[in-house]
Amino acid sequence: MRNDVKNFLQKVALGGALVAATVGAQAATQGTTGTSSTGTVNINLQIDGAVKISNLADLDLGTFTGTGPLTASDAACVYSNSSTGYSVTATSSTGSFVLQDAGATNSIPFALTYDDGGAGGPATLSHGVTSGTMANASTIDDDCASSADNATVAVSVTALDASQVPQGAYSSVVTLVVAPL
Amino acid sequence: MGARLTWLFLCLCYLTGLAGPAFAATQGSSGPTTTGTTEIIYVQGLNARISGFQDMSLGTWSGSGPLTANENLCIGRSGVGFFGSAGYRVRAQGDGEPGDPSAFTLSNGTDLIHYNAYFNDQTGLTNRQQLTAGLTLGGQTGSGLAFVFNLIFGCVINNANLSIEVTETELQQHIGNFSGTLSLTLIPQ
Repeated sequence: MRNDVKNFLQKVALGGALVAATVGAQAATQGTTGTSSTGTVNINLQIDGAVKISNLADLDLGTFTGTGPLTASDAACVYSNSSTGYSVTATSSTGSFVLQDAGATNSIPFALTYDDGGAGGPATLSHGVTSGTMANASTIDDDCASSADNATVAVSVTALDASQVPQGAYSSVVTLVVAPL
Repeated sequence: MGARLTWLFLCLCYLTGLAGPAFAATQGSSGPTTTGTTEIIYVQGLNARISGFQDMSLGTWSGSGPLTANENLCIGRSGVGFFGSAGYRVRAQGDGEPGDPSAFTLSNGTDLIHYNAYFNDQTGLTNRQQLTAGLTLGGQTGSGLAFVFNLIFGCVINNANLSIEVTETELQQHIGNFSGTLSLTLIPQ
């Protein structure tokens, strides 16, 4: 029984030494014995640049009746935790800024503009080409729940282009990539 | 053997906060020699020891969700028997901010991030209680066995937990490397 107690205390002492050695490698401090005791812990956190585009909706150009142009736009929300702005790169599922019919045999060119709400007005984007610096992103929340949408995506098709293709339904999926600067 | 028993008795009195036997001074009487006795009184206050702290790394924010971290601690205190239980209070303090010197904040040198801190009088997060910076959180309890061993040997038996959380709302408003220090004070009751 006495040896059991001795062995237990030796293990406790060894455990305490190991804990002390481990903790000694940290910057945290341990409390000392007293009428009160205080320990401290250091806390570290890294936040990298983050962006998000949301609140996008499909753009419906409607039906071409012989006059144009056809236009459609949608307000979107861009969030960024960087104060240095962001860029936008747009690509189309058709490989260029064209709408295609179901068989992908006929195409209608379209123009895509992006407006960050700044004084410069809408900027025309080229397929796959990164834009210049955009601003006015939300830095408060990532879905503009506490503010209005802060960007506008617009698409247009000229009457001339629309009049040169057979009747039918034309579409494309545009992907917008927003990146922090 | 008698000396060992005396030491054992005194140690138990220290750890459990028991008072020793009552003595009273006695006066000498007239005679060729005279003997008087005096009582030496020593009052042992409650002692406490908190340990087991390690630095907390919240890692890198992925762009969504909160970030959390927690660690188990060791609470030790005197004035309780092996098989008893006792209470204590804790008070936490962060790096502060203008208007609140105790606020739970992390800094990147220019911006501050606020975080929430929680204390649990058991290991893990279940039933944890949120700490208010600079204010004492009472009503924490634990068992005597852990208290005694943690008081004597340091962090031997984990019997508490400290956890922190930075909300997504707070994270998405900042960028950079943030750090800070959280102090936790143990006060036996």
